[in-house]
Amino acid sequence: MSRANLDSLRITNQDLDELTGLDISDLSMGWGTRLSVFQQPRRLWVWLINQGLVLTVALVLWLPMCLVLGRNLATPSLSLVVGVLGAIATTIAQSLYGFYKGQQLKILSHLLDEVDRFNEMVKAVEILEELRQSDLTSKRLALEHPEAVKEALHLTRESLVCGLASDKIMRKHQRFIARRHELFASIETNLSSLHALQASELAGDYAQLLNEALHVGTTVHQALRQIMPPD
Amino acid sequence: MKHFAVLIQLLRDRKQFLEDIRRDIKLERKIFSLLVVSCIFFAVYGAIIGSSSSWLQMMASAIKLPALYLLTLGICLPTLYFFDILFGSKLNFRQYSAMLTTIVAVISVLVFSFDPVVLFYIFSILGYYFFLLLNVAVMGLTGIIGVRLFYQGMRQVVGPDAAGSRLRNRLLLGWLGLYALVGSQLGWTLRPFFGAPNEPFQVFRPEIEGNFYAQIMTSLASLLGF
Repeated sequence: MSRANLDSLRITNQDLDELTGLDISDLSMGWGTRLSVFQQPRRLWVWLINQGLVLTVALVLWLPMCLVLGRNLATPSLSLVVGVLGAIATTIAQSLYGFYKGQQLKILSHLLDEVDRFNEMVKAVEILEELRQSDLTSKRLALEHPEAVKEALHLTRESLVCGLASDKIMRKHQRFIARRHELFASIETNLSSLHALQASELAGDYAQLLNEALHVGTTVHQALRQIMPPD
Repeated sequence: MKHFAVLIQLLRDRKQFLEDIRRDIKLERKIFSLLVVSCIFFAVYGAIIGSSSSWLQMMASAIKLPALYLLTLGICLPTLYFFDILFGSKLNFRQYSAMLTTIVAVISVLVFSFDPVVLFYIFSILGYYFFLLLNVAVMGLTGIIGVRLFYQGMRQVVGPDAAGSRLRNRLLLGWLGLYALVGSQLGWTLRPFFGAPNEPFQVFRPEIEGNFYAQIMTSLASLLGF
Protein backbone atom coordinates (compact mmCIF):
# COMPACT_ATOMS: atom_id res chain seq x y z
CA MET A 1 0.00 0.00 0.00
CA SER A 2 1.69 3.20 -1.09
CA ARG A 3 1.44 6.52 0.72
CA ALA A 4 -0.27 8.07 -2.31
CA ASN A 5 -2.98 5.39 -2.12
CA LEU A 6 -3.61 6.15 1.53
CA ASP A 7 -3.64 9.89 0.90
CA SER A 8 -6.33 9.43 -1.71
CA LEU A 9 -8.43 7.58 0.88
CA ARG A 10 -8.33 10.40 3.41
CA ILE A 11 -11.42 12.63 3.52
CA THR A 12 -9.99 16.14 3.48
CA ASN A 13 -11.57 19.35 4.75
CA GLN A 14 -12.11 20.44 1.18
CA ASP A 15 -13.97 17.18 0.46
CA LEU A 16 -16.11 17.78 3.54
CA ASP A 17 -16.96 21.33 2.45
CA GLU A 18 -18.06 20.06 -0.95
CA LEU A 19 -19.95 17.04 0.39
CA THR A 20 -21.82 18.93 3.08
CA GLY A 21 -22.18 22.31 1.42
CA LEU A 22 -21.07 23.86 4.72
CA ASP A 23 -17.89 25.35 6.07
CA ILE A 24 -16.53 22.49 8.21
CA SER A 25 -13.85 22.90 10.86
CA ASP A 26 -12.87 21.12 14.09
CA LEU A 27 -15.30 23.33 16.00
CA SER A 28 -18.07 24.22 13.63
CA MET A 29 -20.22 23.14 10.73
CA GLY A 30 -21.53 26.26 9.06
CA TRP A 31 -22.97 28.42 11.84
CA GLY A 32 -23.53 25.38 14.07
CA THR A 33 -21.18 24.18 16.78
CA ARG A 34 -20.09 20.55 16.51
CA LEU A 35 -21.42 18.44 19.37
CA SER A 36 -18.03 16.77 19.87
CA VAL A 37 -16.76 20.15 21.14
CA PHE A 38 -18.48 19.43 24.45
CA GLN A 39 -17.22 15.83 24.60
CA GLN A 40 -13.51 16.33 23.96
CA PRO A 41 -11.56 18.49 26.46
CA ARG A 42 -9.02 19.63 23.83
CA ARG A 43 -11.74 20.89 21.51
CA LEU A 44 -13.58 22.46 24.43
CA TRP A 45 -10.49 24.50 25.27
CA VAL A 46 -10.11 25.65 21.67
CA TRP A 47 -13.82 26.56 21.64
CA LEU A 48 -13.45 28.55 24.88
CA ILE A 49 -10.45 30.43 23.47
CA ASN A 50 -12.50 31.14 20.36
CA GLN A 51 -15.37 32.49 22.45
CA GLY A 52 -12.83 34.65 24.29
CA LEU A 53 -11.85 36.12 20.93
CA VAL A 54 -15.52 36.73 20.08
CA LEU A 55 -15.87 38.56 23.39
CA THR A 56 -12.75 40.65 22.62
CA VAL A 57 -14.09 41.73 19.23
CA ALA A 58 -17.51 42.44 20.78
CA LEU A 59 -15.89 44.53 23.54
CA VAL A 60 -13.85 46.51 20.99
CA LEU A 61 -17.06 47.36 19.15
CA TRP A 62 -19.48 47.82 22.06
CA LEU A 63 -17.37 49.64 24.62
CA PRO A 64 -16.17 52.71 22.68
CA MET A 65 -19.54 53.00 20.92
CA CYS A 66 -21.45 53.10 24.25
CA LEU A 67 -18.91 55.44 25.83
CA VAL A 68 -19.10 57.87 22.89
CA LEU A 69 -22.90 57.80 22.79
CA GLY A 70 -23.15 58.22 26.56
CA ARG A 71 -20.45 60.88 26.97
CA ASN A 72 -23.03 63.55 27.78
CA LEU A 73 -24.87 61.41 30.34
CA ALA A 74 -24.72 62.33 34.02
CA THR A 75 -23.42 58.84 34.89
CA PRO A 76 -20.70 57.80 32.44
CA SER A 77 -20.20 54.53 34.34
CA LEU A 78 -23.63 53.48 33.07
CA SER A 79 -22.26 53.56 29.48
CA LEU A 80 -19.36 51.39 30.59
CA VAL A 81 -21.72 48.83 32.15
CA VAL A 82 -23.99 48.85 29.08
CA GLY A 83 -20.94 48.38 26.81
CA VAL A 84 -19.59 45.42 28.79
CA LEU A 85 -23.03 43.82 29.15
CA GLY A 86 -23.70 44.31 25.44
CA ALA A 87 -20.45 42.56 24.56
CA ILE A 88 -21.18 39.67 26.95
CA ALA A 89 -24.74 39.37 25.63
CA THR A 90 -23.45 39.29 22.03
CA THR A 91 -20.99 36.50 22.89
CA ILE A 92 -23.64 34.47 24.74
CA ALA A 93 -26.13 34.94 21.88
CA GLN A 94 -23.52 33.81 19.36
CA SER A 95 -22.71 30.71 21.46
CA LEU A 96 -26.39 29.82 21.94
CA TYR A 97 -27.12 30.24 18.25
CA GLY A 98 -24.16 27.97 17.40
CA PHE A 99 -25.42 25.39 19.89
CA TYR A 100 -28.99 25.60 18.51
CA LYS A 101 -27.79 25.17 14.91
CA GLY A 102 -25.52 22.33 16.08
CA GLN A 103 -28.55 20.53 17.57
CA GLN A 104 -30.31 20.85 14.22
CA LEU A 105 -27.31 19.24 12.52
CA LYS A 106 -26.95 16.40 15.03
CA ILE A 107 -26.69 13.66 12.39
CA LEU A 108 -24.09 15.57 10.44
CA SER A 109 -22.11 16.14 13.62
CA HIS A 110 -22.03 12.37 14.30
CA LEU A 111 -21.03 11.68 10.71
CA LEU A 112 -18.20 14.19 10.98
CA ASP A 113 -16.98 12.47 14.14
CA GLU A 114 -16.97 9.20 12.19
CA VAL A 115 -14.97 10.92 9.43
CA ASP A 116 -12.44 12.07 12.04
CA ARG A 117 -12.13 8.50 13.32
CA PHE A 118 -11.76 7.20 9.78
CA ASN A 119 -8.98 9.71 9.04
CA GLU A 120 -7.24 8.68 12.25
CA MET A 121 -7.50 5.07 11.12
CA VAL A 122 -5.92 5.92 7.75
CA LYS A 123 -3.17 7.76 9.61
CA ALA A 124 -2.56 4.69 11.81
CA VAL A 125 -2.25 2.44 8.76
CA GLU A 126 0.08 4.99 7.16
CA ILE A 127 2.32 5.02 10.25
CA LEU A 128 2.39 1.20 10.30
CA GLU A 129 3.37 1.20 6.65
CA GLU A 130 6.17 3.72 7.26
CA LEU A 131 7.46 1.67 10.19
CA ARG A 132 7.41 -1.47 8.08
CA GLN A 133 9.37 0.25 5.30
CA SER A 134 11.98 1.48 7.75
CA ASP A 135 12.52 -2.08 9.01
CA LEU A 136 12.01 -4.37 6.04
CA THR A 137 13.67 -7.35 7.75
CA SER A 138 11.07 -7.49 10.50
CA LYS A 139 7.70 -9.01 9.68
CA ARG A 140 6.28 -7.99 13.04
CA LEU A 141 5.02 -4.60 11.85
CA ALA A 142 3.72 -5.73 8.47
CA LEU A 143 -0.02 -5.88 7.81
CA GLU A 144 -1.04 -9.46 7.13
CA HIS A 145 -3.64 -8.62 4.49
CA PRO A 146 -2.86 -5.15 3.17
CA GLU A 147 -5.26 -5.48 0.25
CA ALA A 148 -8.11 -6.48 2.56
CA VAL A 149 -7.35 -3.49 4.80
CA LYS A 150 -7.30 -1.19 1.82
CA GLU A 151 -10.59 -2.60 0.60
CA ALA A 152 -12.14 -2.19 4.04
CA LEU A 153 -10.93 1.41 4.26
CA HIS A 154 -12.22 2.08 0.78
CA LEU A 155 -15.65 0.68 1.68
CA THR A 156 -15.78 2.76 4.86
CA ARG A 157 -14.88 5.85 2.87
CA GLU A 158 -17.60 5.14 0.33
CA SER A 159 -20.16 4.66 3.10
CA LEU A 160 -19.18 7.88 4.84
CA VAL A 161 -19.26 9.86 1.60
CA CYS A 162 -22.68 8.37 0.85
CA GLY A 163 -23.90 9.27 4.34
CA LEU A 164 -22.68 12.86 4.02
CA ALA A 165 -24.19 13.28 0.57
CA SER A 166 -27.52 11.86 1.78
CA ASP A 167 -27.50 14.19 4.77
CA LYS A 168 -26.93 17.14 2.45
CA ILE A 169 -29.91 16.10 0.32
CA MET A 170 -32.07 15.63 3.40
CA ARG A 171 -31.13 19.08 4.69
CA LYS A 172 -31.81 20.61 1.30
CA HIS A 173 -35.32 19.16 1.26
CA GLN A 174 -35.94 19.45 4.98
CA ARG A 175 -39.13 21.49 4.67
CA PHE A 176 -40.49 19.16 2.06
CA ILE A 177 -39.81 16.09 4.19
CA ALA A 178 -41.31 17.79 7.26
CA ARG A 179 -44.57 18.15 5.33
CA ARG A 180 -44.73 14.46 4.33
CA HIS A 181 -47.61 13.53 6.69
CA GLU A 182 -49.77 16.21 5.21
CA LEU A 183 -48.89 15.03 1.72
CA PHE A 184 -49.59 11.37 2.56
CA ALA A 185 -53.15 12.31 3.47
CA SER A 186 -53.97 13.41 -0.06
CA ILE A 187 -51.95 10.75 -1.86
CA GLU A 188 -54.80 9.68 -4.21
CA THR A 189 -55.55 13.14 -5.44
CA ASN A 190 -52.24 14.87 -5.50
CA LEU A 191 -49.37 13.97 -7.74
CA SER A 192 -46.91 15.65 -5.43
CA SER A 193 -47.76 13.00 -2.82
CA LEU A 194 -45.81 10.54 -4.95
CA HIS A 195 -42.76 12.71 -4.56
CA ALA A 196 -43.32 12.69 -0.83
CA LEU A 197 -43.24 8.90 -0.91
CA GLN A 198 -39.93 9.10 -2.72
CA ALA A 199 -38.62 11.44 -0.08
CA SER A 200 -39.73 8.99 2.58
CA GLU A 201 -37.95 6.20 0.74
CA LEU A 202 -34.90 8.39 0.58
CA ALA A 203 -35.07 8.77 4.33
CA GLY A 204 -35.17 4.95 4.67
CA ASP A 205 -32.20 4.59 2.35
CA TYR A 206 -30.38 7.22 4.27
CA ALA A 207 -30.90 5.38 7.55
CA GLN A 208 -29.76 2.15 5.90
CA LEU A 209 -26.64 3.89 4.56
CA LEU A 210 -25.87 5.18 8.00
CA ASN A 211 -26.23 1.69 9.44
CA GLU A 212 -23.98 0.34 6.74
CA ALA A 213 -21.41 3.05 7.41
CA LEU A 214 -21.42 2.17 11.09
CA HIS A 215 -21.28 -1.55 10.39
CA VAL A 216 -18.38 -1.25 7.94
CA GLY A 217 -16.57 1.09 10.33
CA THR A 218 -16.89 -1.44 13.16
CA THR A 219 -15.74 -4.28 10.92
CA VAL A 220 -12.68 -2.32 9.84
CA HIS A 221 -11.90 -1.50 13.43
CA GLN A 222 -12.13 -5.17 14.41
CA ALA A 223 -10.02 -6.20 11.41
CA LEU A 224 -7.39 -3.66 12.33
CA ARG A 225 -7.29 -4.89 15.91
CA GLN A 226 -6.74 -8.41 14.65
CA ILE A 227 -3.89 -7.50 12.36
CA MET A 228 -2.18 -5.10 14.77
CA PRO A 229 0.68 -6.63 16.84
CA PRO A 230 -0.44 -7.41 20.44
CA ASP A 231 1.98 -4.89 22.05
CA MET B 1 -9.54 28.18 14.65
CA LYS B 2 -6.49 29.16 12.62
CA HIS B 3 -7.03 32.91 12.42
CA PHE B 4 -3.46 33.82 11.56
CA ALA B 5 -3.42 31.17 8.82
CA VAL B 6 -6.28 33.03 7.13
CA LEU B 7 -4.28 36.27 7.28
CA ILE B 8 -1.17 34.57 5.89
CA GLN B 9 -3.31 33.15 3.09
CA LEU B 10 -4.51 36.69 2.30
CA LEU B 11 -0.99 38.13 2.32
CA ARG B 12 0.67 35.32 0.40
CA ASP B 13 -1.96 34.62 -2.24
CA ARG B 14 -4.22 37.63 -2.47
CA LYS B 15 -5.44 36.62 -5.92
CA GLN B 16 -6.74 33.26 -4.68
CA PHE B 17 -8.21 34.91 -1.59
CA LEU B 18 -10.14 37.38 -3.75
CA GLU B 19 -11.24 34.52 -5.98
CA ASP B 20 -12.63 32.77 -2.88
CA ILE B 21 -14.55 35.96 -2.03
CA ARG B 22 -15.86 36.17 -5.59
CA ARG B 23 -17.05 32.56 -5.37
CA ASP B 24 -18.41 33.07 -1.83
CA ILE B 25 -16.27 30.30 -0.28
CA LYS B 26 -15.98 30.05 3.53
CA LEU B 27 -16.53 33.76 4.02
CA GLU B 28 -17.90 33.68 7.58
CA ARG B 29 -14.71 32.08 8.84
CA LYS B 30 -12.54 34.47 6.82
CA ILE B 31 -14.41 37.54 8.09
CA PHE B 32 -14.20 36.47 11.72
CA SER B 33 -10.54 35.49 11.49
CA LEU B 34 -9.59 38.78 9.85
CA LEU B 35 -11.55 40.71 12.48
CA VAL B 36 -9.72 38.88 15.26
CA VAL B 37 -6.22 39.41 13.85
CA SER B 38 -6.99 43.06 12.97
CA CYS B 39 -8.15 43.65 16.56
CA ILE B 40 -4.94 42.11 17.92
CA PHE B 41 -2.61 44.07 15.63
CA PHE B 42 -4.38 47.39 16.14
CA ALA B 43 -4.53 46.77 19.89
CA VAL B 44 -0.75 46.25 20.02
CA TYR B 45 -0.12 49.43 18.01
CA GLY B 46 -2.67 51.33 20.12
CA ALA B 47 -0.98 50.15 23.31
CA ILE B 48 2.42 51.30 22.01
CA ILE B 49 1.27 54.79 21.08
CA GLY B 50 -0.68 55.09 24.34
CA SER B 51 2.34 53.97 26.35
CA SER B 52 4.06 57.26 25.45
CA SER B 53 1.70 58.89 27.98
CA SER B 54 0.54 56.56 30.79
CA TRP B 55 -0.62 53.04 31.63
CA LEU B 56 -4.25 54.06 31.56
CA GLN B 57 -3.80 55.71 28.17
CA MET B 58 -2.08 52.57 26.94
CA MET B 59 -5.09 50.43 27.89
CA ALA B 60 -7.60 52.91 26.49
CA SER B 61 -5.74 53.22 23.17
CA ALA B 62 -5.46 49.42 22.89
CA ILE B 63 -9.26 49.31 22.78
CA LYS B 64 -9.93 52.56 20.94
CA LEU B 65 -7.62 52.04 17.96
CA PRO B 66 -9.19 48.71 16.81
CA ALA B 67 -12.60 50.28 17.49
CA LEU B 68 -11.73 53.23 15.25
CA TYR B 69 -11.05 51.01 12.23
CA LEU B 70 -13.84 48.51 12.84
CA LEU B 71 -16.52 51.13 13.54
CA THR B 72 -15.49 53.08 10.42
CA LEU B 73 -15.92 49.86 8.48
CA GLY B 74 -19.34 49.24 10.05
CA ILE B 75 -20.50 52.82 9.37
CA CYS B 76 -19.41 52.83 5.72
CA LEU B 77 -20.33 49.25 4.74
CA PRO B 78 -24.08 49.80 4.14
CA THR B 79 -23.40 52.82 1.89
CA LEU B 80 -21.08 50.81 -0.34
CA TYR B 81 -23.38 47.78 -0.43
CA PHE B 82 -26.65 49.55 -1.23
CA PHE B 83 -25.17 51.97 -3.77
CA ASP B 84 -23.35 49.16 -5.53
CA ILE B 85 -26.34 46.82 -5.78
CA LEU B 86 -28.44 49.75 -6.96
CA PHE B 87 -26.06 50.11 -9.90
CA GLY B 88 -25.99 46.43 -10.85
CA SER B 89 -23.63 44.61 -8.48
CA LYS B 90 -24.29 40.89 -8.08
CA LEU B 91 -22.22 40.52 -4.90
CA ASN B 92 -23.96 39.81 -1.60
CA PHE B 93 -23.57 41.54 1.77
CA ARG B 94 -21.24 38.83 3.04
CA GLN B 95 -18.90 39.36 0.10
CA TYR B 96 -18.80 43.11 0.73
CA SER B 97 -18.12 42.46 4.41
CA ALA B 98 -15.28 40.11 3.48
CA MET B 99 -13.80 42.69 1.10
CA LEU B 100 -13.89 45.38 3.77
CA THR B 101 -12.38 43.15 6.44
CA THR B 102 -9.51 42.40 4.04
CA ILE B 103 -8.77 46.15 3.77
CA VAL B 104 -8.81 46.51 7.58
CA ALA B 105 -6.65 43.39 8.00
CA VAL B 106 -4.09 44.63 5.48
CA ILE B 107 -3.94 48.05 7.16
CA SER B 108 -3.57 46.38 10.57
CA VAL B 109 -0.62 44.30 9.36
CA LEU B 110 1.05 47.35 7.82
CA VAL B 111 0.50 49.38 10.99
CA PHE B 112 1.81 46.48 13.08
CA SER B 113 4.95 46.35 10.94
CA PHE B 114 5.70 49.93 12.02
CA ASP B 115 5.65 48.99 15.72
CA PRO B 116 9.46 48.75 16.13
CA VAL B 117 9.91 52.13 14.41
CA VAL B 118 7.35 53.82 16.66
CA LEU B 119 8.86 52.16 19.75
CA PHE B 120 12.28 53.41 18.71
CA TYR B 121 10.98 57.00 18.49
CA ILE B 122 9.22 56.69 21.86
CA PHE B 123 12.56 55.87 23.49
CA SER B 124 14.69 58.31 21.51
CA ILE B 125 12.57 61.46 21.06
CA LEU B 126 10.26 63.08 23.57
CA GLY B 127 8.61 65.69 21.31
CA TYR B 128 4.84 65.26 21.52
CA TYR B 129 4.03 66.97 18.20
CA PHE B 130 6.69 65.06 16.30
CA PHE B 131 5.38 61.78 17.73
CA LEU B 132 1.81 62.78 16.85
CA LEU B 133 2.69 63.63 13.26
CA LEU B 134 4.85 60.53 12.89
CA ASN B 135 1.88 58.35 13.82
CA VAL B 136 -0.50 60.31 11.60
CA ALA B 137 1.99 59.73 8.76
CA VAL B 138 2.16 55.98 9.56
CA MET B 139 -1.62 55.66 9.68
CA GLY B 140 -2.04 57.81 6.57
CA LEU B 141 0.50 55.82 4.57
CA THR B 142 -0.87 52.44 5.63
CA GLY B 143 -4.41 53.67 4.99
CA ILE B 144 -3.53 54.78 1.45
CA ILE B 145 -1.85 51.43 0.67
CA GLY B 146 -4.79 49.50 2.18
CA VAL B 147 -7.36 51.53 0.27
CA ARG B 148 -5.41 51.13 -2.97
CA LEU B 149 -5.27 47.36 -2.54
CA PHE B 150 -8.99 47.37 -1.73
CA TYR B 151 -9.76 49.32 -4.91
CA GLN B 152 -7.76 46.84 -7.03
CA GLY B 153 -9.36 43.92 -5.19
CA MET B 154 -12.89 45.24 -5.73
CA ARG B 155 -12.22 45.59 -9.44
CA GLN B 156 -10.95 42.03 -9.55
CA VAL B 157 -13.88 40.61 -7.59
CA VAL B 158 -16.53 42.51 -9.57
CA GLY B 159 -14.77 41.85 -12.90
CA PRO B 160 -14.10 44.28 -15.76
CA ASP B 161 -17.19 43.26 -17.74
CA ALA B 162 -19.68 43.80 -14.92
CA ALA B 163 -22.79 45.87 -15.61
CA GLY B 164 -22.27 49.63 -15.17
CA SER B 165 -18.63 49.09 -14.25
CA ARG B 166 -17.52 52.65 -15.18
CA LEU B 167 -20.15 54.27 -13.02
CA ARG B 168 -19.48 51.83 -10.20
CA ASN B 169 -15.77 52.56 -10.38
CA ARG B 170 -16.51 56.22 -9.84
CA LEU B 171 -18.86 55.31 -7.01
CA LEU B 172 -16.16 53.21 -5.43
CA LEU B 173 -13.69 56.10 -5.62
CA GLY B 174 -16.28 58.38 -4.03
CA TRP B 175 -16.90 55.80 -1.33
CA LEU B 176 -13.18 55.61 -0.56
CA GLY B 177 -13.21 59.37 -0.01
CA LEU B 178 -16.17 58.95 2.32
CA TYR B 179 -14.35 56.16 4.17
CA ALA B 180 -11.35 58.45 4.73
CA LEU B 181 -13.57 61.31 5.94
CA VAL B 182 -15.58 59.12 8.32
CA GLY B 183 -12.41 57.45 9.62
CA SER B 184 -10.63 60.72 10.34
CA GLN B 185 -13.67 62.28 12.02
CA LEU B 186 -14.29 59.16 14.11
CA GLY B 187 -10.63 59.31 15.09
CA TRP B 188 -11.22 62.87 16.25
CA THR B 189 -14.30 61.78 18.23
CA LEU B 190 -12.49 58.89 19.91
CA ARG B 191 -9.36 60.93 20.79
CA PRO B 192 -7.04 60.99 22.69
CA PHE B 193 -4.96 58.09 21.44
CA PHE B 194 -1.61 59.56 22.48
CA GLY B 195 -2.39 61.56 25.63
CA ALA B 196 -1.13 65.14 25.50
CA PRO B 197 1.67 66.09 27.93
CA ASN B 198 0.64 67.92 31.11
CA GLU B 199 -2.95 66.81 30.73
CA PRO B 200 -4.67 64.26 33.00
CA PHE B 201 -5.86 60.95 31.57
CA GLN B 202 -9.24 61.12 29.84
CA VAL B 203 -11.06 58.32 28.03
CA PHE B 204 -12.42 60.94 25.60
CA ARG B 205 -11.83 64.65 25.32
CA PRO B 206 -14.92 66.47 26.63
CA GLU B 207 -14.93 69.12 23.88
CA ILE B 208 -16.39 67.70 20.65
CA GLU B 209 -15.96 70.77 18.41
CA GLY B 210 -13.04 71.09 16.01
CA ASN B 211 -11.85 68.52 13.53
CA PHE B 212 -9.00 66.24 12.68
CA TYR B 213 -7.57 68.40 9.86
CA ALA B 214 -7.46 71.59 11.96
CA GLN B 215 -5.52 69.66 14.62
CA ILE B 216 -2.99 68.44 12.04
CA MET B 217 -2.41 72.02 10.89
CA THR B 218 -1.96 73.17 14.52
CA SER B 219 0.53 70.37 15.19
CA LEU B 220 2.49 71.18 12.03
CA ALA B 221 2.59 74.87 12.97
CA SER B 222 3.79 74.04 16.50
CA LEU B 223 6.46 71.70 15.18
CA LEU B 224 7.74 74.35 12.74
CA GLY B 225 7.73 76.99 15.49
CA PHE B 226 4.91 79.24 14.21
